[in-house]
Order: sequence, then structure tokens, then C-alpha cells
Amino acid sequence: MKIDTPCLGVIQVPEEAIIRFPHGLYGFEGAHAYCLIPYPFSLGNKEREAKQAPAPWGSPTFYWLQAVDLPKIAMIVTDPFPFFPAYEVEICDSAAELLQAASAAEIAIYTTITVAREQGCLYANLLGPLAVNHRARLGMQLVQDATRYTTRHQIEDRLPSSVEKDSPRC
Amino acid sequence: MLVVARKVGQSILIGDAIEVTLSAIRGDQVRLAIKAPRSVTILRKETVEQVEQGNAAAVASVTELTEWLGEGNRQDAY
Repeated sequence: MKIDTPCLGVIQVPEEAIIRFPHGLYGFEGAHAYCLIPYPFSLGNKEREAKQAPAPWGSPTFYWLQAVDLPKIAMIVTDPFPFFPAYEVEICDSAAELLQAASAAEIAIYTTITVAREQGCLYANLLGPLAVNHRARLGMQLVQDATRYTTRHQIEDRLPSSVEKDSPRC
Repeated sequence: MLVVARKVGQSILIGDAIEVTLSAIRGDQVRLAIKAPRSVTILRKETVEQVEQGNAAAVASVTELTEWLGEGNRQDAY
């Protein structure tokens, strides 16, 4: 299906790449369908891919999260664990049920990213991670303990060794 | 909106599965004890607002971030 995006233009996404967020995201409750696109993306747009240098970190660490019907709702998300190895996400029973997850291993965690360009810093939102069951194509945003996490945890300016090119990722 | 006065130790029932008890008062802070099924999500409102603001910030910085990830950081990353 075709999806309109603010930065990539109209892109073609397979139907099975669509993830449903039955409750939406906090503040964006109206958007229930998103697609997760590896960044730099690979969606068969050869012209664009040719212009794009290969990702320095091998397998994609960053992804676009794009609302299917609302082009303006797009975020960049990442797998937080390479950056924050001690990060712990609590998934309550009702969330696991909504995600139709038989075990925690089925749930992938992503955190949204913001940038402070002046400081040259990226920040991850560890307070409100996104939990996705890719098998069931279901997602939801979780709210974590505010005494432990905030919406702005600085990502190291360098890339961690665990996401260096060709290294295995777990 | 319903406003109910309660003393310490008294409860209110919400539906037939949720019980909220006023367990203590200290100065301007009250402690609430909440009994609810595990399927009910209970969150502090200000935490949810922080997450909402975080989401809005993520959407607002997506263009800049795309440029930053695409170009700015590439030299440093290698």
C-alpha cells in the first residue's frame, strides 16, 4: 500500500508491515495504524537508495514510525538496549494480553528519539517505550516508572560497540 | 464531575471491580489505595502528560533528525 510521509515522500509498504496500535500513542490517540521502516530504509526505491550512503551501523538501529493515514505523524525510533544496556521495561498483564504475546520474548521494544542539534545530542524517551508484537502486528505505548526514567535520556555521541558494523545484535 | 468527601479509611467503589480507599493524609498529600483487576491500567496523570509531550517532541524533531542521522553524524559514526 502507498503511504504519504513528510520526509520520504510517497512510499510503497507491504500490507504485512502495518502494525496496529489499538489505543494509539499518547497524544495521538486518533492514529491506530503505523508502519515501521528501517532507516536508512529499503523499500525498493532504487533511486533514493542509490543516493543514500550505507548505514554505518550495519543492521538498522533506527526506524521510521509513520502513521499510515496521517502523514504528519512520524517519529524516529530505536532499539534502546544497545544504548542503555541496563534499561528495564515493565510489561503489565493487560499490555501482554492486548499485544497477544505468549511470552516477553515475542515483544520488541522501541523508544522514540528527539534531537538537540545545538548540542549535537540525541535523546531517547525511556519513559514511554513502544512495545510491538511483530507476529501479531500489534503495538502499544507503555508508561514506565517516572522515578526511574524520563522522556529525555541522552544517547552517547558515539555509537556503542554492540551496534558496530556486522556485529551480531540480540 | 462527581466530588465525594471521604475520611481516612473510607472507600469509594467504581463499577463493581474497582475500590479506591483513602489510606492516609499528610499535609497536602493524600495516599490512595487502589484495588482493581490487573487488566485495568492505573497511571499518574502527570506521567502520561510527560509521555504525550515526549511524543509531540519526537514528531516535531523528525525532519531535523532525518538530516542529522543522514548527514551530520555520519563522519563521527565511522
